[in-house]
Amino acid sequence: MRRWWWCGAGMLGCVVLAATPTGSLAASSDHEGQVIVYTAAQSTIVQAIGPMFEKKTGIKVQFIEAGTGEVIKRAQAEKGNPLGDVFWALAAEPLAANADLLEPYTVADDAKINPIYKKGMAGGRVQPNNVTPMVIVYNKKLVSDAEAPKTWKALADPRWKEKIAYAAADKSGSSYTILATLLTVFGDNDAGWKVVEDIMKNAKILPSSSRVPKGVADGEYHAGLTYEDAAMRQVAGGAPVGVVYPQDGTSVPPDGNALIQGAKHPKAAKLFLDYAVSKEVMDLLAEKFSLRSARTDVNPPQGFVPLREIKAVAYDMEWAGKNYAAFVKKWQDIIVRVK
Amino acid sequence: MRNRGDVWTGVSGVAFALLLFLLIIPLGRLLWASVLDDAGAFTLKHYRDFLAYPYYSRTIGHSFLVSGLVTLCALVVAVPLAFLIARMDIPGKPILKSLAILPLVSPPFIGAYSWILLFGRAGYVTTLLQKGGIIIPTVYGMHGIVLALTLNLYPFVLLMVAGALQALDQSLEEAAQGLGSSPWRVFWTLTVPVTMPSILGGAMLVFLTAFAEFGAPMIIGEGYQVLPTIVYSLFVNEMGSNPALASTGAALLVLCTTAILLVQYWAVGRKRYAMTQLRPIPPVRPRPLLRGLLTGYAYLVVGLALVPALVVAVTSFFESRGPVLYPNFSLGNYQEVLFNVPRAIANSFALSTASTLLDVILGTLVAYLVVRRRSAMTAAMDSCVMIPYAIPGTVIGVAYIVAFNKPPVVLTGTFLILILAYFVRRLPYSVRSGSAMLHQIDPSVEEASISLGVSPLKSFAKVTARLMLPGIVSGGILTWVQTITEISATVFLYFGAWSTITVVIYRQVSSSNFGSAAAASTILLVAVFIPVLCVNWMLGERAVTAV
Repeated sequence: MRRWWWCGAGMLGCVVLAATPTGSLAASSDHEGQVIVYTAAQSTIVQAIGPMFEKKTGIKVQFIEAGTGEVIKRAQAEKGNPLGDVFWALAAEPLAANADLLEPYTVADDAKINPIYKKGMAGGRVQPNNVTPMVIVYNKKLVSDAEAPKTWKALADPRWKEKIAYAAADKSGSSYTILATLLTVFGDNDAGWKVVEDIMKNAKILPSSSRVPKGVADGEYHAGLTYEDAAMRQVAGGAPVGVVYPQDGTSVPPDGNALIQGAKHPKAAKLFLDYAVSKEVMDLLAEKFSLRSARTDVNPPQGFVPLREIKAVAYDMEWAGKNYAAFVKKWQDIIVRVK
Repeated sequence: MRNRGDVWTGVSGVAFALLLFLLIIPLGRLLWASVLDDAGAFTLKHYRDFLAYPYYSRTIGHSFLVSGLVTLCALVVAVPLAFLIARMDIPGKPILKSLAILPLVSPPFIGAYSWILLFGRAGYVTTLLQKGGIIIPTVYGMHGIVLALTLNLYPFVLLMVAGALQALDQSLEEAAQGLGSSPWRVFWTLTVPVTMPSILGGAMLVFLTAFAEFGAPMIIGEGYQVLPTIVYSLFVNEMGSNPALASTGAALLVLCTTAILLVQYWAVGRKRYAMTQLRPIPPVRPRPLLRGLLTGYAYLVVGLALVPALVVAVTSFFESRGPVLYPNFSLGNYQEVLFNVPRAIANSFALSTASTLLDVILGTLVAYLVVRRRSAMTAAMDSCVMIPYAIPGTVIGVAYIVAFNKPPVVLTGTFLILILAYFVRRLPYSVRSGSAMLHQIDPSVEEASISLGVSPLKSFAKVTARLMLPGIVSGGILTWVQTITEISATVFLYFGAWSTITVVIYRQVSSSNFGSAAAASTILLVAVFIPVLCVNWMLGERAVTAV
């Protein structure tokens, strides 16, 4: 038995040793020497931007990576003793809906950010990062360009029965944005909800937004409702995927950044927020990672349609946020009825 | 029995205090929210809301149906396999045993996705068969969930039943045969009843795991929702969650699980067989033809369950362009993850080993208390230990942040909170396999030791714990393997440099980088397989349970 205890003690010892922090942190008068960033950005982006920021500022950056919902839930649970300093590249709508977790901040390059995207951002608590229109994707092997749905309305046609993919509106933030976009286009009334119901009759409901473009690219579904940059990554990778900007109008919501209320490294956090929307980073994100910047002086990624050619509707983020519970409940009722 | 009181009362006190601090307080607070209204007064309103709303309530039926079918299928597949492995001399047994445990290492998210790659609408097998004029139903929906979970979870039954068979003493069967019983009669009147607690124990683990599982239903359910998927989406909602309703869903999961456990407690509690294993039964070598058939069957079952892992391994060598995979050989995916995998693997090993040791120690003691010191208190302890089993890791993660983020006890932001969360989440494995084992061990040996003047605790360590060793090792391996693949609590609790390999896989999947996710998963599979294989070689025949 004694041997067991030694064995256990030894292993615990190893764990403790491994846990001892290595390297000291260089705090200076301008900042605290480190910053903790909660992010839903793709891992490849995180790996690219992190070292660039450290090199430029000498601040050690630590990322906590998870989905938008998980990151926000984490911060909610930590409220009172927040462990994170910054939210980076989360869907802006859920961020704005949790304004009580955020501290207002104006980034250094604020003048360069397109003012359209600053609306409904919880009074400046959320700063626009990149923007992504809601789109329809279709599989070019299964659907010819001529047959492809050109409008949201077309997806309500029974010929798409069981053939289109949509992420659950009660799970995915971007999927909720699509639902609210449909209601903006067709009206939050019986006629508008009828269109939603007809689309849902045709749809297979998936648990996460990333599954929609992937499923369409793999040929599991003929078409799907999703957001631009996920769809364009499939196109860039060479998948047989076509992207349609619905002619009946779509929304162009931003992803946002924010300073967490009670952050333990506020100075470093602000430096990170400034850096995240700097021209240097935004140019790189557009060139390498297919992200459309919210800045006015950054070109859209190659192969992207300029925003002025996309028919945008007047999408009201505050309205969508306020009606979240009611709309989701109605959507769930539809799912119970048609599935 | 009588004069053991003091020591074991102390042990149960310590165990209870630990459970109180790590389990009952954090989770109790969260579940309590389900019976409070906005003003903080008692109400059952949330339960009425939940049950009256078909979008939620129908998932309870779905959950019972899926878990029931999975349990049935797992029994049909695994019980014969356990007999083969424990009793027959078939070639390559250590490897077979080690391979059989691999489905439990099924990497999060990506394992079930393999079934879509093969049997989805545009799946590889589906299209191949279509060319031959055969139309098969797609893997989506309830039957797909049952298929994936059966092949994922059958090792639980296999491990426990094979362990029990190994613990049978040769003299028993010899005696029965000596008294004139036919081998068939010996089998039905001796072997089956004696292994019944383990069969039921394994079935219970499968049922409960399937009941709490949300990965596979999310991925291949295509809208077929079960209770855990609803709880998950109520909890982790991007647009603001509904805490009371989420707690209600979690509480319903716990209630269902507790009800199932009580039934099992009552069923197993009445039948107890105890024996002292002195001579294990040597494996039988059947006639060549039969041996070939049985070997074929064993490898077929084990092989089928490894299909997801194989698909992942093959995919990891495909070329990736962004999210799109091309079937050309490439090591690019491995280069992609090399940046953060080594540290993440080391973290995963350190954290799960530490928490497994804690589980094994406390789990064995609790099992002893539950089986040998039956009382209302130990029965309550038994049910408590199982609560984390019923609750999605997400809920545990959130409950832990809320409980341990403020003085007096601040654990968030340290690696310790991960170890403790793992410890609590996986404790049921050690307790279950330990108590299944104890049901088979005659208490008289330990009593003899005590009456010879050896102290109770020492007698336990020298006699009972030693007889339990196969069960302890098997529980330990299960715990370790299941801990190292934990993701849903980790994602809420990891901090700083303590990112685990599962976090890496999860992030790659959500970034649609399936190639890199497959590479990281393959590294994880290999890293877990090697130690399991080593343990099996070292323990040889003794380690059936250790499979």
